[in-house]
Amino acid sequence: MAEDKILVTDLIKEIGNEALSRVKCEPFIRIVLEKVPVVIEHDACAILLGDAEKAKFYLWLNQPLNEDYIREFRLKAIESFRDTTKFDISEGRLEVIKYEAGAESAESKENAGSLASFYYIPLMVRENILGVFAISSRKPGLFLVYKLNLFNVFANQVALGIDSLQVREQVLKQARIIERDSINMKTAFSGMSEGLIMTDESDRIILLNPVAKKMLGLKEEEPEKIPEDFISSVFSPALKELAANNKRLVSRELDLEKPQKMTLRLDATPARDSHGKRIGTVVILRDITHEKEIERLKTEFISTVSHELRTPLTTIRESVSQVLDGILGETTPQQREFLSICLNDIDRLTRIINDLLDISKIEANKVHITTETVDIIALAKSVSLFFTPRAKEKGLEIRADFSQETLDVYIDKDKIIQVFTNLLGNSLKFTEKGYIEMSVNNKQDSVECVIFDTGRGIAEEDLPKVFSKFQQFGRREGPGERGTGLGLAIAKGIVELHNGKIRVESKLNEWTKFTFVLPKYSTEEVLCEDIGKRIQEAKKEGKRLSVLDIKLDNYSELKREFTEERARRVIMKILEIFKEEIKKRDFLTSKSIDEFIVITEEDKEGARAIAERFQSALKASVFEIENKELKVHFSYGFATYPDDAGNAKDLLAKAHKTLSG
Amino acid sequence: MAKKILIVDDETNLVKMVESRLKANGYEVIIAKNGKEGFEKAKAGKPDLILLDIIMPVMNGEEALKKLKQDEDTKSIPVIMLTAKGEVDEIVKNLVQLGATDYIVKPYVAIELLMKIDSVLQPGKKLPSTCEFLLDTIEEKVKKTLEGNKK
Repeated sequence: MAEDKILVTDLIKEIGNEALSRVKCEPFIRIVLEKVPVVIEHDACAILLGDAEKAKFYLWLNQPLNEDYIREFRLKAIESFRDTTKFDISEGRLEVIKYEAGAESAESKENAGSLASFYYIPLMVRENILGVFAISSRKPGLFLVYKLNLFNVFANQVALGIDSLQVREQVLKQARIIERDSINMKTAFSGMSEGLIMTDESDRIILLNPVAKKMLGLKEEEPEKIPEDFISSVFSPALKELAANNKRLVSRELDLEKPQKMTLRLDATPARDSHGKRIGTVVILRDITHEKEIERLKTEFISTVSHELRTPLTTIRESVSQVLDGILGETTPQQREFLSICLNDIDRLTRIINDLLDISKIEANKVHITTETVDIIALAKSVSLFFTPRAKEKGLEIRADFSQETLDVYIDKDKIIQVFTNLLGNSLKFTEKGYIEMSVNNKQDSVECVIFDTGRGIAEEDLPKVFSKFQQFGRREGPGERGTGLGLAIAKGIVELHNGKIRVESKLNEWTKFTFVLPKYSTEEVLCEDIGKRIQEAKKEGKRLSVLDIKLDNYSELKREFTEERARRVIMKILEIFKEEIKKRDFLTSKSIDEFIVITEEDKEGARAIAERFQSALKASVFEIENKELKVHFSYGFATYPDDAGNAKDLLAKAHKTLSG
Repeated sequence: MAKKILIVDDETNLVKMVESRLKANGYEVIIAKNGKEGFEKAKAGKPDLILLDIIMPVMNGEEALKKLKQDEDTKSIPVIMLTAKGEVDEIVKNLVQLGATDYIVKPYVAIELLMKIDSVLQPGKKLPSTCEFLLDTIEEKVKKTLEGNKK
């Protein structure tokens, strides 16, 4: 017994060493199974490892055994595996690895007999069950307690060995995957046609692929020297924006002069680990010079073609219109009818060309809006007025719902007229019965314009495409009314140029509602913007710029005596008189109802001269309300750039502060 | 006596149309094909108004304008510049500084031209209402009404 113990202790040491020196589990198990006879006498032993999905049955036959014996042993092992691990492994999922001891095959067949003894022990490391270790024999009552105790000790050592080898296998497998991935990545990085830059979590660059190096003009010998201005003006700001707004993508476009002229597009996306923590940034650089060039050529082509088409069209139109007017001699009614048709279609062609030109400009970012203070209600009314006759012809009503009499907004008048015209024209075209309603609503810091119609509506699946170019839905109108398919795209472009938003809602066959929202600016903001622009110009040309502030002294008296409406009319008249007195380059606008601002390139003396001209012009005019003569007088103050102030706000404030009679 | 208008433009077809329209509206018309000829005819013919194209052979509109404004005989004649679309912003600003009275964007509708000419030569004259239909787009009509409302 003591001898057995010594033997087993040695064996345990031996398999401990085996486990340490190996990298794979399977050969270790083979050695273990081979050594079991040293610990305990048996005919077959087995180790079953795995889980419900997949399990391996390592079987060692000490003796040649018959199939029935082996099957019974396997079933018992599976049963004990199930009892221990609660994994119900079916026989089909079991992979059997069978080892046999040396060939004592001669008398083997007579040795056939059935299973009489069976014992198993769970293979456990800490609380973790790896599987079971089972032994069996044809002799009944073979497994004695003290032998089994030795076997248990042995099995514990085996469990430790298997566990550490399994971990090692796993690590090696991962390492191999990582290595392969990294080789794949490296190949991909250097092979890709885009430039790639990767940074760590503190925005330090950790990787640049060859294309990125080439794009940034980095030399092989000094690969770390990234141009300073690229980092400071593009790269860092983009990364900051990405981090600050928690965005998924930040894009920039930049024009490079060196090492060669090209336009780059930079897309920065955060790199995150599996827990979503930011571990760096991936920046892709794409050479979009070619795309830009094509875009430019396209725009240029459209605008050239449009222009070339417009010139002959003008001549045709003018010819037809002069014949129609009878300038070139008498015409018959039928001739006139045909010429009218001609004129109509020429105008339609002109519209299409104009639309094409407009959209190509908007797309090329070539449209600049010239903003001024405009009464958007008057504007909306005028547009609706022009559509009223056409609406009546179709038996439609145009309803107007304006929240107030007047509403001044700072917009590009011509362009917003175009938006209203396009939307209203659209409504008219697609409405057969019912009405079209226009409304302008004064919101907190925006103006909301709505055009609603009871027309045929737009199918839900078409709604997202409404503002795209050349999209026309449900066209059933007659040949004379065809649009260009550009109207809404243009409307969207214009509204967005105003920093506004446009949207559409609709129910097919029932109604359509277009809403566009324009931001409102205070008079002060608007004035400052105007003055700011002029200051920039003056700065460039080395000129002075003066702001003249004119305030009527007796507006409140006027209002009290003659009602607000009449006082307002007098103010309008005064503004007109003043407008006559200023030069083309000078600019006159209202700051409030009784305070005006003149922006002029004159110096102080010039500004004073303007004010004096205003004074004498006012004296020369007579204002009468109900046969009662009015006396209007004002105070004025001025400030000059760069003498008095360097920016628009200060200039305006200073001019106001110096107000005096 | 009929007011005299000098048209300086190298697009003969368009000039022919303008000439016919202006004559129908009671103006006398002289024509020049380039800036140099335009300046000479302005000096000799003393027109009441000059319509001056910008892009022309021999002498362009800008040079012609400078010359016209420097010459004692011609410097007080109002000049309306004819400009192609797209040049408007920058160039026109410059030309107005050089002394041009106004500008009109080509290709123009004759009625626009007439309105500009009338506003320079006969301020206060009302447009015949029959001309209204000649304004080609609704946008322009709306624009005109808005301007009318202001006055």
